[in-house]
Parts: sequence; C-alpha cells; structure tokens
Amino acid sequence: MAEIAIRKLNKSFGETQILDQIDLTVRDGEFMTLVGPSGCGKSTLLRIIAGLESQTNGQINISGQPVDQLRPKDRNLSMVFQSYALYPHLTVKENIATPIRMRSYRWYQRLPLLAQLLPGAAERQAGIDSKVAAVAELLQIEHLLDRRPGELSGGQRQRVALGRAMVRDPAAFLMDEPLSNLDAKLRVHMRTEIAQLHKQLGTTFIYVTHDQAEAMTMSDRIALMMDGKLLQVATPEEIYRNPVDVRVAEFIGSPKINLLPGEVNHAGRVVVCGCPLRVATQPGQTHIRVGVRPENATVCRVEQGDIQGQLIYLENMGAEFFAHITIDTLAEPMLVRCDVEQGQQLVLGATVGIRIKPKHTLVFDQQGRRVASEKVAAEVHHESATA
Amino acid sequence: MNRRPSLLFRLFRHLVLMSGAMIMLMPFIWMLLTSLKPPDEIFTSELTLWPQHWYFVENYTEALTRIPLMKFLLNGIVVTVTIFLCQVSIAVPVAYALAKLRFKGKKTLFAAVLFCLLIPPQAVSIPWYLLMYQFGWLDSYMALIAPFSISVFGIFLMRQFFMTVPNDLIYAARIDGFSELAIVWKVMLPTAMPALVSFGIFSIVAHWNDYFWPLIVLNSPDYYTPPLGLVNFRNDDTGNDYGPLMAAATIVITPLVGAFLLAQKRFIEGITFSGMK
Amino acid sequence: MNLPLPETSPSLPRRTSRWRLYRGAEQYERLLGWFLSLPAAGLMLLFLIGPIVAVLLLSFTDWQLGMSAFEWIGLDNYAELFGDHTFWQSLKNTMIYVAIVVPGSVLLGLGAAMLIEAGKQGKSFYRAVYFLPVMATLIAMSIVWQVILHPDFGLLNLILKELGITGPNWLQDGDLVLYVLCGIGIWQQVGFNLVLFLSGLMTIPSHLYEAAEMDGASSAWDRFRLVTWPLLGPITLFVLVITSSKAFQVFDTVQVLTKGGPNKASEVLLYTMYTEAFEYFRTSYAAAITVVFLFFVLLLTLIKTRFVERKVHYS
Repeated sequence: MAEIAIRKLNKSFGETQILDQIDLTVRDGEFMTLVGPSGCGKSTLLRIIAGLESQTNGQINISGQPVDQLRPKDRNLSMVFQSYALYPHLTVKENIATPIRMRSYRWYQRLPLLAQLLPGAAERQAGIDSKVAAVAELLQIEHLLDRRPGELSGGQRQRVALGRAMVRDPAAFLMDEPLSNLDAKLRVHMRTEIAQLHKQLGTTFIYVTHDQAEAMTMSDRIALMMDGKLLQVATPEEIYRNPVDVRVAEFIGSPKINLLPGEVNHAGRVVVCGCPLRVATQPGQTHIRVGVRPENATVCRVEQGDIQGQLIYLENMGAEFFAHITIDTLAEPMLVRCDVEQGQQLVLGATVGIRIKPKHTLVFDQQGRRVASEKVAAEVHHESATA
Repeated sequence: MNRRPSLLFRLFRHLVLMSGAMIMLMPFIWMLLTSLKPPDEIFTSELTLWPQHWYFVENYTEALTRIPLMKFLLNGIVVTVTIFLCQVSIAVPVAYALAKLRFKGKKTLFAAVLFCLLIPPQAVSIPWYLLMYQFGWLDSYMALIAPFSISVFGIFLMRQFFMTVPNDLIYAARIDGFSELAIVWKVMLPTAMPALVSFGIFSIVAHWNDYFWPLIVLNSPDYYTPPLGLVNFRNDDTGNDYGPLMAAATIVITPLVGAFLLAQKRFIEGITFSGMK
Repeated sequence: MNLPLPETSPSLPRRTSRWRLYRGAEQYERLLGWFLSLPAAGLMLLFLIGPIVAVLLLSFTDWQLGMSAFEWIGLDNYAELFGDHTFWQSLKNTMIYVAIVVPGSVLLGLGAAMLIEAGKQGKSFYRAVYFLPVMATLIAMSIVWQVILHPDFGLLNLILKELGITGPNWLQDGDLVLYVLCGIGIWQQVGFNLVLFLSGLMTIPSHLYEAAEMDGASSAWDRFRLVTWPLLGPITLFVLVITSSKAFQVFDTVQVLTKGGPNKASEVLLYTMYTEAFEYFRTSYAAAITVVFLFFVLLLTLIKTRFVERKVHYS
C-alpha cells in the first residue's frame, strides 16, 4: 500500500509534448481513475509510473521514496493490460505464479529440473501453490488453472490477468483499459467486480480508461486529462457537477451536456438565443457558452419556458425519455430529459418551451474556463419576461 | 461453384496429374529399385523393373562400408544442427531489438538486413574462402558452420513475427521481473514457435542439401557432408557400381524425405518461406 | 512518543538498482538494443557486407590467392572477361537455361496447381508428390538422373529401345546436354512453383467465380480469363522472379553431371566462377565473374522488391 506522488512531470518526443506539467497525488488506498480521450497521454503517464517509459523531467515518489531510478520490477507495482498480456505458452496457474517465481527465487532456483533438487524446493513450491490457490478462489477461476490462455474466453483471461497482478501484494495496481476488450454486458459486470476487489484489498488503484462511465462508477477520484494536461482532479460527484473546463463538462456525462452559445448583457444576465436566462454572471462577456445537462432542463409550455424550440425526435429509453428540440439559431438540437409520463404526451413537431434550472447551469468563458454564476431572483425573471 | 465437375473432366484431371506424378516419382522409384538389384540386373540392356534377385542387404552393406556413410550423415547432422542453433541464438535477440526496442541506428541496421537478404551466398564465396584461409579454418567444421552462423533471413522472419506480439506482453514481463534476456528467450521465443519451426525446416533443408560451399572448403573426407560424400563415392573407381551408389543416395535423402512425409504442411510452409522473403 | 520512522517503505528495495547504469527505461532500452544487435551486426559486417565490398574491390585488382601484394588494374579483369570465349559461352548457356527452365516450370506449376484445385480427390497426395523433388537432396537426385540417363543401361534409353528408338548419350552430346539439364531443373522446380500457385489460388474467394458465372462466363476458359488469371497475376510475377533467380544460380547438376562439358556445352556462369576461383585460383578474375553474376541476380531481386513494395501499397 502506498501513496503515489507525481511532481511536475513532463514527457516529450522531440517537439511533441505528450505530458505537460502533471502534478497528481494518489492517496494511499485510493481508487484513482485517469480518464480522457485516446491520445491524451493517460496511458503514457501510467507507463511512466510503472517505469516502462521514462519521463523527460519531473519526479515520481512511491511511499515518499523517489522511484525514477528504479526498474519496473523494483517498483513493486502490478499492472493489468488491455490485451491481458498473458504468457501464451504457460498455463493459467503458471501465469499467475510467474511474478512470485521471478521475485522470490534466485535464478538457479528457477532452472528446469535442477531447481527441484535444491533444498527447500518442495516448501517453496507449496508456498506458491497456496498463494495461487487463494487468488484463484477469490477470482473464481479454480477450474481453469490447468488451461492455457488460448483456451479461455475474454472474461476469463481478464480474471487471470487480475490474478497475476494480485498474487504478490503490490504497493499499487495499475490498470490500463482492462475492460475495453470485453463485450458491453461483461464490461458492466466487471466494473462492479473490480470496484469490489478494490474494497476488499484496500490497495491503491490507478485505473486508466477512455470510458467516462467506468470512471464515474468505479473511482474514488477522477483525474481528467486532455492533450497531455491534467484538467481536473476531483470526486466523480464534483467533476460532474462542477467541471472547471468546458472540455471536462463535455467529456463527462451521457448523454452529453448541451452547450449553448450565449452572451452576457449589461446587467450581468446570461442570454441565449436572445432569451435571457435566470442566471447571472460577471457582465461584459460576449461569446460565452452555457452548459445545461439534459436532466437540468424540463420541457414545458411555450410561455413558461426560458427558450423555445421544435420537438423533432423523442428517444424512448424505457425509464425516461430524451426530447431532441431544435432551437432556431442553433445548429444542434438540445437534449432534454423527461419522465415517462410527460414523454408519452409529447407530440413530435410541436413547439415547446424549455425551462432551464439556473442552479445547475454552467457558464464557460470564451477560453472554455468555467466562470462563477448564480441564480437570479425569480421576480427579475418575470420582469424581463413581461418586458 | 457447387456444380460437380463432369466424370469426363474428373478422369482427365487424374490422368494428367497421375502421369505428371509418375514423372516426378520416377527417379525416386528407379533409385529404390536399382538399390535392390544385383549388378547383372542393373547392367543389362533388358528393361526390367522389378528385381529378380533381391540384393538389398548386399547393396546397403556395401554403401555403408565402402565409404564412411554413417560418418557423413553424422557430419551432416552436426553441421546443420549447429548452424541452426547459431542462427537462432544470433537472430532472435536482434530480431527482438529490431521489432520492439527503440535505439539509435535501428533503421540503418534494418536497412542493412534488407540489403543482405539480396546477397546470394555464392557471390561472397571468394571472400569467405579467404577469411577461412586467414583464420586457418579451411577443411574443418568451423569452415562449414561459421559463414552461415548469421542468417539475415532468420532475422527478418523473426522480426516480422515479433512485430505482431503485443507490447503489453513485454511490459507485463518487465513488471513481473523477467530480465531482458529472459524476455527474449522465455517470453518472445515461445510465442514465435510456428515461425521458428518453419525457419528451422528451411535452414536445415538448405544446409543438409548444400553442395557448393562444402565442395569449396573441404579436402579431407573427415568432414564430408552427405552430398559431398555421395559425389565422392561416385567419383571413386568403384563408383560405377550403381547398386550400392543408389543405396547410398537413398540413405542420404531418407531423413529429410521421411520427415517431409510425416509433416508435409510444415515442410511446404518452411521451404516456400524462402521465396516469400 | 516519537518513534523514528523507517527510512524507506519496506516494500521497496533499498538499492536503487542492481545496475548503476540504469537511468530510466529509455536509455536502458537504447543500451539494450545495441547490446542485443551487436553479435548480429558484427557477423553481418564480417560475412556479408564486408565480403560483398571485397568482391567488388577484388575485381579491380590483379590479386591471386597466395600473393602478398596486388595492384589496381582498373577494368582489366572485365576486359579480359569480355574478350573470353568461355565467358560468353557460359553466359549464353545460363541465359538459355533460364529461358527454358523459367517458363517451363512456371507454366507446368500453374497448370498442375489449377488441375489440383479443380477437384477434390487426391489434393494433398499430388501436392506431396510434386513437392518431393524440391525436398530431396539435389546432389543425390543428380546422381540418380545420371543412372537413368546412362546411354546403355539407363532407364530412359531402355524405354526408348522398347519403342524401337536408339537413345542418344544424353550427357555427352553437346547439342543435347544443356536441354537435359534444363529438364532436370524443371523437374526440380515445378513443385515449388506449384505450391506457391496453390496458395495463390486458395486466396481467390469462391464467390467471385459465382459472380463470373452469373455474369455469363460459362466456360472454364472464360472464368480463367475473367477471374483466375487477373487475380493470380501478382503471384505469377512473384514466382517468375524467384524462379529466374534460382535458375541463374544453377550449379549442382552441372558440377556433378557434366563439369561444363562436353566442350563447354553446359558451362554456366556459377560453374565458370567456381573453376576460375577454386580450381585455377585466379581470384580477382573470378571476382569479376561474380560481379557479373551478382548484377543479374540483383537485377531480378530489384524487380521483386519493387513489386513487393507495390503489393504492400495495394493492401
């Protein structure tokens, strides 16, 4: 168990900057997810932590000790890979046993044949066997121990890869998109299993994924990366409700957040498509973007809405509906969540109003940075609506 | 095409292919039959296929005793196996480096490998001979083995195969504590078994059958490989004794032909590799 | 109470590394790359790149094995070579050999491959039988051919005799000998080409034939013209080049069966090179022959490489 601290880490290949001034502390026992679109540098960061690649500059400490001069195997980390990376010529049992064999045996104790004749060989073998058995039991793969990776399904290989990582009590687990090769159903199932495994083991986890749903459901904290930069590190709750950057807001949440172009009038009111919202921010800004998540708006009668548009499509998700509403001046339709009752009553093609919850409305400036905003008192709204 | 070919066509197909097959097999059959015949049945102007008197024991005993054929076969095995082991132990590490490591000069090295693929061994036989002469290795196992210890084709083949091994496997091995040499031999090589087998067949067949180079560097029969031994047997005064000669030829081709018949697919793959480079 | 904290976490080794050289993954990889490449690079230099340069340089000198000094004589070796009747005879014979063996073995290989692929029975049997000569030690089989071609007791002439024809002395007849060698060359090469064509035919998807039939290509010839031949085109070129390059390297049969005779009738390039270099030890002169030989082989491989690159672009 260990805290992993990353200080001012940079990585570049020639001119291209892959990682830019990364500062991140993963607390002891924490489930930290590095999330971001492909090519954002998250996997590189993970490989640098593991020691598989080296940084251009900056420092990594594990449990307070710098590890930059340590080889991967000396960092006492375990890693689970996207392609599972099981040794194809070894059985499941041998695969899981490999990390302990390599670590706890001297080279001569690993020699074929001769090793069995050395004193203490039987005890050592028994020690390994019992560890492998314990891991196999935990992951429910006891019946697969004598097979080879080629004979296993994707989910089973995934478990074996986890087993190989778990077998030797590492300081931390590093996982590089471990679920992305599984089919959708199994992926959701394995999410829960890995999260539970984390609770059981209590070890530090660093988990890399491009799937925001995985990040949201599994993590204690999320570190969101883009273009080699760390944009925000926060709990799933916080990063969803309080994104510091428009890119964060766009990346997290499904369906995606609605981003409406707008401006701020002289009174500090946010105006979208000519309609002032009940949201106030610093006056004098043009070209702002207003983020509204589908569940933070409601479909209503035209006269009650902050803005209005035409209902062009209704997405029936079973437990809820998503209304696609085009607004005159906007290129993309706005997505609004409705409950089943309301959704069933909506008529395609009708003009409807959209009421936006001011408390949860996010305002971003021209550079995409979040700016503070607040709800405007109700009477002000009526004033302008009547005006 | 689901349509069944007509009976006439099927007959025609077998007729043509069978006559072709007969021509292909004829030398082998004739070799076997001759090796079973006594001299008076060989040196006759009558066409007889089947031996009247079986001369199997006499001819084969003669072949094995008149010349040290067993020693030649043993030489052949020693030379081909050593060449193969050298080629693998030199080619596999560099193939791994070329496929999976980043280092300065890698592109140049690979370009050199591609260039060397174009060089037929006969074209460098003169400098090789001079080198062997310089090292004092002429007429020895060293002369037979050393120039072939490097196989650029083997490097190329293994490198192509290693390219398909996911990087993750190497990362996993590094984290699990394998040393880099252990990664080469215990992780990469086992995954490349099919390529290694094909390369092995290619290499062993090529050097078992090689005649040009042994002919140049060998003088004393002590190091003769089977083809050289066979030709020398024929060149002897007694070499016109076709029965034992054919028996010797049969013995020389048997190991490879036998192995081929047992593992046809692998052999065909391995040998056609040479054309695929 | 103030307990002293352990200096490092017990889970991490105290020594920073077993190798003090270790300065991060990338530098390690660089050193490792060199370390693993070193033996191969050294041997390549010693046995391939060095020698090929040496042959080229040697061909411009007057050096012979055993001489302690040499002089640069420019193109004298080549001048002598091009004025030498034997060389031209040898080059001509090699060309004739290539011109016969290449089309012969390619067409026979293609025909046999298509016949094999056209039916179901006996596929692997035929493939194995035709491939057998490729596998068998050519030297041994050459000696067998010598027995078969024996003027008095050989199988071939005995068969001809049954038919009432007096067979010639195949290997001693200057007008015939080269063609006999060509025959053996074809016999040996057909199986190799056949297997390459078979693998090419296997990659043609069968629905293309169905489509061709739907489009009105009803006869076998139409289907061959419309589907088989165009799709087999690339592999055919490939086979042609490989076969030519192999045919250029003909040596074993000549050395064992004719020694270039009678009267240079079967003298080929590699055999001339061999005799000059290793029987007369005219090293630099032989080097010049090698350069000519290399010129032709490289020309062919160049065509092949160009073609392989093109194939890569296609896929």
